[in-house]
Amino acid sequence: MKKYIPLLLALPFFAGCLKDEPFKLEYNGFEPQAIQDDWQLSTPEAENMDRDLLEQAYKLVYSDTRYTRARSLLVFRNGKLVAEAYPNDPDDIDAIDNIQSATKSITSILTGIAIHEQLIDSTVEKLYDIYPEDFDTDLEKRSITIDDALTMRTGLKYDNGTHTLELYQNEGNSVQYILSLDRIYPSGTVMNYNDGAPHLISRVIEKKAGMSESEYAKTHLFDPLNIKDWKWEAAKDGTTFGAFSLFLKPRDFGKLGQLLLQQGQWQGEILVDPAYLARATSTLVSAHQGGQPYGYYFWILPAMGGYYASGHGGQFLLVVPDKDLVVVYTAWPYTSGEFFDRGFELMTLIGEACK
Amino acid sequence: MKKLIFPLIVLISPLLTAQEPPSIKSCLEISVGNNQNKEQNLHRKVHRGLLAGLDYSRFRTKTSHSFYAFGLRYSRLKTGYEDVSKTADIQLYGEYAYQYLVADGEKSQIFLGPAVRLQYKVSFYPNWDESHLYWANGLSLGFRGMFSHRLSEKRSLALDLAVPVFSVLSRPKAERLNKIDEVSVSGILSSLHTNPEAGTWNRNFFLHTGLSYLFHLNDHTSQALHFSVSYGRMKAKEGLPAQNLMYSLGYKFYFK
Repeated sequence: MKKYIPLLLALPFFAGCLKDEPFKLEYNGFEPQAIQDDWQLSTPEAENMDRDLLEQAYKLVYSDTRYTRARSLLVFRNGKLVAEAYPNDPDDIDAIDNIQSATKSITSILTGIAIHEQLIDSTVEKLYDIYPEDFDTDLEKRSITIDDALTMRTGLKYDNGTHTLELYQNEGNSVQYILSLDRIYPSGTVMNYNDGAPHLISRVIEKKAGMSESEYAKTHLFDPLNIKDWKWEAAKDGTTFGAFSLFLKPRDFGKLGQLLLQQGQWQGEILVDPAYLARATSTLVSAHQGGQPYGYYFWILPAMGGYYASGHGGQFLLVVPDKDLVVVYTAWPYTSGEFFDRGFELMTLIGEACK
Repeated sequence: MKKLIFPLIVLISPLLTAQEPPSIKSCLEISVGNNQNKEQNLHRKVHRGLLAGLDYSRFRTKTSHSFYAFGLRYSRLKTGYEDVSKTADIQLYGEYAYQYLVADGEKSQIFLGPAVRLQYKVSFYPNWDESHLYWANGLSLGFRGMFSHRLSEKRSLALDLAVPVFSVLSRPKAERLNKIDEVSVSGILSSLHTNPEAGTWNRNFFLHTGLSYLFHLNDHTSQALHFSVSYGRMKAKEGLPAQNLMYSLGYKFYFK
């Protein structure tokens, strides 16, 4: 017995340390996987793209120190899927992911569909004329138009850091909650990027279409594009969050980019009003902070001749019409801004890869 | 019926030796140490940092030995990617054990018996997921043993070891299809008990071992230095595991 005593007493000291593992899988190229879906596969060479530059971009998202929370990078050119990779988990090809604020751009697309369907006559229509019951007694707020909400110029004091959580938790009428906020600018003057304005547009679509924005998206956007797996969260009063929380698969996100590239046409049918889309994807205002050009919930890249939807985590959907290019980048969507890279380096590399 | 025997032993064992007056002592422990978390539902990196702990236990000793204990651990953690420890990790547990004297030597004794443990381990990683809590909670039934060795009249060493066998556990889903957790008190409490499932070491492996160096002050009080190591790995059927390794050094004060 005695000889075992020191051994027993030393037992607690034998524990080691937990070991770090890489964020990413080992780099394994970017050849698209053949799965049964609507995408035609191709190669960089066949679509006139520089393979080396593409490889640089893909190696960035496989790096353990850059784009640490990357989940997918997909490149589409000439309507074909040229490159894709899922550096975090191969199963991400089939996983829906919260595209966060890139949802705003889908709300913009749905507005264009509602215009094409003649549910919305004009973007200068006042919100008060659509849902007067949700307004308070501040007469100035009654001048807010659809255009003001689409360009983030409602003038309401909506701060994402405070009010988005409250919007999420609000038990009552979510639109009344937003409209009850103080007015700090005259509507139509100052662009203040926020989650409240797209929610006002979601209610516009709901009122005009007689169904929630997510139901409208299903029948008028997702079904025509054969997008079957998706989820879109709603406020507790049932109004779809127009600004965030649409969950999509990466390849389906790419279909929305392709729809934009095709100016709202899909398989010969016009889904989105082309004139609206042209306006939505052109510079209409400059961001209040940073001065970046903005359209109707799309960030504009004049130097590249493109535009993109952007969401938390650094996620983006880039569309470059002149290059017939669509790029999807998705990442873990809840990461602090300190820990995700903005996608400009990826956008530039992939843009330059187009010959 | 067989499944009920083990829990029944736990419940009735204090009654089996109720004839002699027991010695009852309490113990308060404060500790500091190192905490390492690897929450793979979040990512594959380890969060490390200092922990502070506070434990209270109450012992009842005759020929056998029983105790209940409560404890709290709080840590601020970070990965190698972060400069500031923003991750918060809170562990709260309650435990009851009944240990039989299974070996009695001249200077050494071994106690072994059943133990039931309820543990909540909740972490918030604002840099990596600013919207959700992560947890590894469980109610487990297992064994706890203690080896004690008298060094002198006033000094002794004690090695304790705990291993749960059966557990009911709760882990968050790997994919959160909600942007923000319900942040009301009732919402949080409800979240922390979602997806309960039963399992054994394949689902919840936990090993706690500690070494105490005790020195008696007088008939009523004694004190001890206590070094302990705990390792836990919890994995639900779906999703990835959470691992936790804690080292701590504590000061114990026993009193009647």
